[in-house]
Amino acid sequence: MTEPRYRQLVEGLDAIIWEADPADLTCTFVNHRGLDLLGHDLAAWRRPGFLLDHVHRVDRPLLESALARALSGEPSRVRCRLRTTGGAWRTLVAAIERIDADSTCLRGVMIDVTELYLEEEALRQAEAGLLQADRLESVGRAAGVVAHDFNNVLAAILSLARLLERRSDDPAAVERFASGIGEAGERGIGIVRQLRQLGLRRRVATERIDVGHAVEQLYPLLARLAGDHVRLCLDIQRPLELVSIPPGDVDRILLNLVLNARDAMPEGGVITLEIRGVRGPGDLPEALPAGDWVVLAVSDVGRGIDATTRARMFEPFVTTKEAGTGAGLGLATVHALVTEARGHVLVSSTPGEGSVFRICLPAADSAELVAPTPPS
Amino acid sequence: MATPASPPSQPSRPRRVLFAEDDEWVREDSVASLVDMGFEVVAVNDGEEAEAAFRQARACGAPFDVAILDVRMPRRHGTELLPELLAEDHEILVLLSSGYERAHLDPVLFDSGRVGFVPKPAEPEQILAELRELEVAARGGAR
Repeated sequence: MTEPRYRQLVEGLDAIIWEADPADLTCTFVNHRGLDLLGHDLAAWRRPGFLLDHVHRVDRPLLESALARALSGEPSRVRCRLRTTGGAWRTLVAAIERIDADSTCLRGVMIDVTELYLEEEALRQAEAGLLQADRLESVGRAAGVVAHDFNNVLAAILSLARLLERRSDDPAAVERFASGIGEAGERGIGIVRQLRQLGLRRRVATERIDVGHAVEQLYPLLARLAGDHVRLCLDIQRPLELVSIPPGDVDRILLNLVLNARDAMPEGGVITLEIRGVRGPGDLPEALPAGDWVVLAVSDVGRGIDATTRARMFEPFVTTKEAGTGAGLGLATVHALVTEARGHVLVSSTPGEGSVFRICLPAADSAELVAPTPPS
Repeated sequence: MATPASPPSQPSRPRRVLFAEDDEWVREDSVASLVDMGFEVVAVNDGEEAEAAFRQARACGAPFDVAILDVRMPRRHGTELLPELLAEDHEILVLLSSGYERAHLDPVLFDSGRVGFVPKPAEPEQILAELRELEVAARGGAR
């Protein structure tokens, strides 16, 4: 290639190309396009510390560290904003390196990505707006479900008031209706409690629980709930580590998952409860941090979960069940309880073939080592 | 078309009501109120009982004029039972009752023109009003 073409390449490329003496960060060279892009003349570029004087103060540490890395022989990349003569900011992506191994001089090429960056930003904001809309939708759904549940409680109470009026001269009836009002009130309290449980962190002491034992204890109830058409298989690998969790939480997790598994198989089928101790890293399901875990897997051979539902199934008030049959709080509760126990819920599902929910709880001792309680 | 012997508040039609509701208090109250209004009421507390009562009444030659079905019930939901009732009995009118808004229900449920909606909670008078309205809409008020 001829020299004029080299010159044209360096001077005319849509990028800022520079060389600098690291001692005082004086730019010893800058191409024409570089001068045009920011508007500063050659004399300005030649002043010591030009780059650091014109970089956005937020980005300055990034640029400084990129320059230092380049100087130590490690080519570096950085995104930073530089000020134009007009006072505007251009967002640039810079690749900076030492000119050669023996030299202490630096060179860099900077590409103006301001417009791309703005597009990206606009996209991010649009996504944030969508998320907000999603949240509003959840709130709307929540309102619908809560309204339904409360309407039923209110219907009972209003009916009881009419019945009391109608039969006020019958002491036995009055007593029956009065206790009915009490029960309806309790149901209302239950709805509120369930809602609050989602929003508030409970202060419940944890205990060291043998998950296998908890599952065996609950098995008769689970089998009854699963119904006649569903077989409930139990597979517990011993010995198991203990987990640290509030008493009763394993039961609530199990109840919710087994009921969901049952409902996913209206024609019947098999639910398998499998409990394994898992020691990292070889045995760990993907996405699980290293450590010792107790994994409780609930599998069904039901209709599976489609991608849309999976994206938001842990949100409260999301339900695939017919209006009125489920409040959509089951998986939200499971997720909240498991997260509180510093565990993870892993889900795999094939529509038409079934789903597996893996509840991974840190083994009690390992949990204490891995994630100590932050000082309050 | 009211028979002369009837009190003025008693509707000529419908007279026989199937009332399906799983909440015992709502059921007891509504049944008492409907009876007061002159209806003949059979009350059941889930969807399967409702289906059985519906068939039995038809077999006895005394079919229901109206079914008031809770949308959500144990064993079978009112919305699941609805298509069968409409298909097997071309005269029956159905009121769906729910704590949800009518807008939450599938609009297809109302396509036959013989299905109405009553929100929960509802005053007995409101049930009666919804029934009358449904009656007028379904029969053009001609019967």
